[in-house]
Amino acid sequence: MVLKVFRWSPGFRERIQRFWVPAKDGMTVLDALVDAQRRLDPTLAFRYACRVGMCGSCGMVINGRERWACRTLLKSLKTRIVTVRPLYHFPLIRDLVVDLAPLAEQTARVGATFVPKEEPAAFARVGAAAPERQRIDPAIECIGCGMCVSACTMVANDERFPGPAALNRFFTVVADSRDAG
Amino acid sequence: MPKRPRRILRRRWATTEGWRGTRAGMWAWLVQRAAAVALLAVIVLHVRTPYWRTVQALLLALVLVHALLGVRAIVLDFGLPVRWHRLLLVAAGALTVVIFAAVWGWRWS
Repeated sequence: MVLKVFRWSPGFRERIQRFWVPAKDGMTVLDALVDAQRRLDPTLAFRYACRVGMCGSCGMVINGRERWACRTLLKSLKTRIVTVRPLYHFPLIRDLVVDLAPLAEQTARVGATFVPKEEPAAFARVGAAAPERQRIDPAIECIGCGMCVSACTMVANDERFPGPAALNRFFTVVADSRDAG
Repeated sequence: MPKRPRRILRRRWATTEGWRGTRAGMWAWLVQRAAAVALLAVIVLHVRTPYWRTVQALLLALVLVHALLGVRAIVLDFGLPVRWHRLLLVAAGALTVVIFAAVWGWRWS
């Protein structure tokens, strides 16, 4: 298979580099990137940690869509050519690595931080079966990978728009009856 | 050391990248908005020339598209799972064609 990877580092022009990687059964895009880095170009930069879709570090744009590289099987892409680009709307650090700091900055800017009503903060008394908890259940699954921000075209149009991740976090805080903010 | 300008890739709506991965829900939303804008012009045209058949047909088509996609949005607001998005878009399109054809056959053929 051919891996077309976005390459850029400060002071250099961006380019697309092709890597020929032997595809194997059960191979993910992350496996292919690791293989390319180990065998073909050790300077290729990308970020990953858990390899099981928990940490969100390997979020990138694969064949035009935001995906976790570790959870994307090459077979599922149904093509021999896979294009990998860094996430949109985040400052580039190098190659596929972006600076996710704006994610936290926007979350803080919209005030999506928990302010307890009681001092000291009481332990959670919201049960797993409570309607309040069930309402926010999907929203608290967010692992802050930044892919929703990258996929959003509105973020590019207006810098004041906080983006979906910050708004999602804001919703979880607003829906929390223990929050005084 | 001078600070380098930040390099940020943007997914802008006016580029092909901005439209990659656009799914049924986005198309439904966009078509409904476009139909609403077109309706503004067609309604003005229709008020001025109420018996112009082409404008009548266009008005009916746009009203059907806009209304049925609106019904789709209301139905989805009841919390139907994502797998219904595409089906409801197809259903809205099919119903538009059926109602338009029925009115055409009844009044205009």
